[in-house]
Parts: sequence; structure tokens; C-alpha cells
Amino acid sequence: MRLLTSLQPAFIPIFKKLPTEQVELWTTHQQFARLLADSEIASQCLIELNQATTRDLAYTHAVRMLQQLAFLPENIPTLPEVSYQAFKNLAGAFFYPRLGEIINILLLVEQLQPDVVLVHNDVEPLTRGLAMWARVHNKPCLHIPHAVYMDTPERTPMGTDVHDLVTATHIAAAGPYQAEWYMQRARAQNQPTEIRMTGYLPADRLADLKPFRADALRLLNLHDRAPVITYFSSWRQDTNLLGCTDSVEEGYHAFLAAAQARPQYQYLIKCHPRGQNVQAHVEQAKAAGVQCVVSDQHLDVFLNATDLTISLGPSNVVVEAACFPGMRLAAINGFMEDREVLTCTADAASIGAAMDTAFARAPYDNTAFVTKYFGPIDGRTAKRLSNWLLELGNISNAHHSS
Amino acid sequence: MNDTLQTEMIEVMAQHLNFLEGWSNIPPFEVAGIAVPRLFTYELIQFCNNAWLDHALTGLEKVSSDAPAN
Repeated sequence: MRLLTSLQPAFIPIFKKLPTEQVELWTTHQQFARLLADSEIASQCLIELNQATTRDLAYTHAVRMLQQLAFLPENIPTLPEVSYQAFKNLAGAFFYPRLGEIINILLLVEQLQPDVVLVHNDVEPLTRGLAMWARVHNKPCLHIPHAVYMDTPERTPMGTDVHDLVTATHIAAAGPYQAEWYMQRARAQNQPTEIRMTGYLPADRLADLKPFRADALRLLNLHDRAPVITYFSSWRQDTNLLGCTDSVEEGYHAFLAAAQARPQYQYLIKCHPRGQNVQAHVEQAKAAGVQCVVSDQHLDVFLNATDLTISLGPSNVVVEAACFPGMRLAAINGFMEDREVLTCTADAASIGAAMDTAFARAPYDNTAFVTKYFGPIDGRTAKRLSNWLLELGNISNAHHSS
Repeated sequence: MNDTLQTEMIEVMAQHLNFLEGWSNIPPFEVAGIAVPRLFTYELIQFCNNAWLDHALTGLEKVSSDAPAN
């Protein structure tokens, strides 16, 4: 089986379970091939197939497409003139730096003729291209989402966020929530798609939790005489076509105000690993006079030290936190239908009330909550996914039971 | 964004989507069976949405600046 994968380090546990003698692994990016080599997984990179003739052909195609832009009509009656004129004036500039490279990759995929395609999303141009290629050529494309996307009351209608797009032929849903989420979208887009619940790949590490609270507290310079609250902040994501909000700043500001009024608790601030906004969080905490530890790394250390998590919105990290015994959960405008999570709004009084309520009662059993979003936490998701890949590649998995 | 503007924008966005998904479905844009510009549909929708929104908001500002001072 010739398997082509997108750049996703989280897939490494899956590849380690594939029979090397029956699977030829290819990657879209050289840096991923190097990472796989470091993990002692053999792979090849698409770029190895690239020759001058392929590159020339790609740019010839690109030029041909750019030339077509000269034939755009003066107006389109069904479109607002202002948006069409903006498109007409700048389409060339938009496509010029993008077409050659993406066409080159498509030509290489066409040359490679993979049996199975694997992607971590099917909405970015490259990964969407891989998924489209698979569909057009009647090959399976398995999409293993890198997160469980969740709806909130403020969420704009289905179809307005790039994550709503379904292109892959097969989707590995973590649990029942995500399976239903994708079924709705696949139906709305008339996209025949097989969806299976496989569990959430990053949660395999949580199956055999060995808590280290005392060490975590020591590492964070905290003590065990007062509860620890971790605030999970976020970052601005520009995937919604109707724009993004100031909720990151508003939520954090409200949290700091609530924390300032409650010096009896200890505070940790966990920023998103790709948010690049740690310094901003530090400065705001200093300005508010809230003593806390701020980081965008060391999630497991934070979770081991935490008694109550408060997240901005329905973050996946809340579900990860729920895997820790005795964890109390709260969210600003998230998980409204889940009794395990105290929901609050982005104001200090509401967040403060959630803090006090959480510690006034015993923590819930979060098992059902975790299963709803992540599926089974049994450490076998990587195995299920590798079996599915073998099935899609028509390789007998009689010797690879789950 | 207020509810009225958002409702209008959702309707406009549907027009943008219909146009962008359709305009590139011609042979010159096809490579390996794929209409290549469709890979950028969402980026292009964002672009058109922003252009439309800028224009719509500019119109709103003009109305408010015409209001008589108290």
C-alpha cells in the first residue's frame, strides 16, 4: 500500500503500528520525512519525484490559468459589484504566488498515484487538494481531525467557518459528538462520506495516567494548602468568514478581575501553544496585580497541579482536563449542555461565582463527558486508525487486531 | 457586527460562494482532475466578504457623520 500523508507529527504513533513491509509511506513535506526518520520510520517525500519538466509544466499551467483572468466579464449580475470588482482587480495578485507551487504538488501526487491519502484537515489548499484528488480518482482519503470542533450559541450558521467544509471520503470522528457534527455537514454538502468513531488520537496518552501532583506543584512553585485554578486562554482564529471577535481579551480581562478578588486561590494561565501571546498575558496579569504562572507549554504539568479549569469557550483542553480524577470544570460560553461543566459569561461576577460554586461541591464523575467528546480513552486509538488505513489499502489486518 | 448586518452578510457570502465555486469549473483551470482555484475558495470568500463589509461599513459611517450635531 502506498500511503501519502500530510504534515502531522501526531500521526507518528499510527505509523509505528503499520507493517513496514506492506506500507510505503510518502509525505508532502521534507521536514516531516526528517521527523519520521528521527522516529525510525522510513518514508519518502513527494519532492524526491520532482524534476525540471514537472516544475516547468506546473508553471505553464499556472500561466495558462492567470491568462484566463483577463477574460473575466465586466460584471456578474448576481454578485454585489463592490466585491466582484475587488476580486477582478486583485485575483491575479492573489493567484500569482500560489498557483505554481500547488499545481506542482498536484502533478507529483498524480505521478505517485497513492493508494490511500491521509490528512489532518481537508480545508487548507494543500490538504483540500489531496482530498479532492483522492475523490476524483476514487481513492480513499482518511481525514483524522486534529481537534474536536465544537459549536457554541454564538457560532455563526453552518457553512460560514472553514472547518465546516467536508472533502475527504472518510472521517475518523473522536466520539459521538464529532460523528454527529460531521454527519450534519456531509449531508448538507451532499458529500458521501464514511464516518467512524475511533477515539481521539492525542488522548491515547491519557489512558495510563500516572498523576504527579506533588511534583507538578513543586515545579510551578505552588503549595497544596490552597486550590489551584488554571485559566485556558486562546488565540484569534481567522477561520470564520464572518470575522473574529475580541473574546480572547474580554474573557481574560474578566478572569483577572475575578482572580484579583479571590487571593485565596492559586492561579495558572495556560496560553495556546500557537497563540504567540504569552507576553501579553503576563503584562495584563501584572497590571491586574494577579500573581500567577503563565505559559503556553507544559500542559501536563499544569493539569496535574490543577483543581479547577476555566476555559475560554468549549476548548478541547477541558475534555483533556476531565480525564484527571477529581478535576472540576468551568467554561466561558462553552459546554452549555454538559452538566459536568459550570458555564459562565465573560464578566468577573459570573466567573467568580463559578470559582466559588466549583469548590463548594464535590467534583463530578467526568467519564460520560469525556466519552461524548473523545470516545473511549483506552490507549488504542492509534491502533484502530492504523487498522482502518490497512483496510482502506485492502491489506488484510488478520494479524493486526485491535 | 450587528444582527442585521450579519444576516445580510450571510446572504452575500452565499452569492460569493456560488460564484467562486462555479467560475473555475472550466478546462483551463483543471489539473489532475481538480479545478485548482477551488482550493482557495475560502480565502477568496474572505477576500470578497472583507471588500463588501468595508463598503457596507463605510456607508454606515457616512450616515452617522451626516447626522446634525446636538
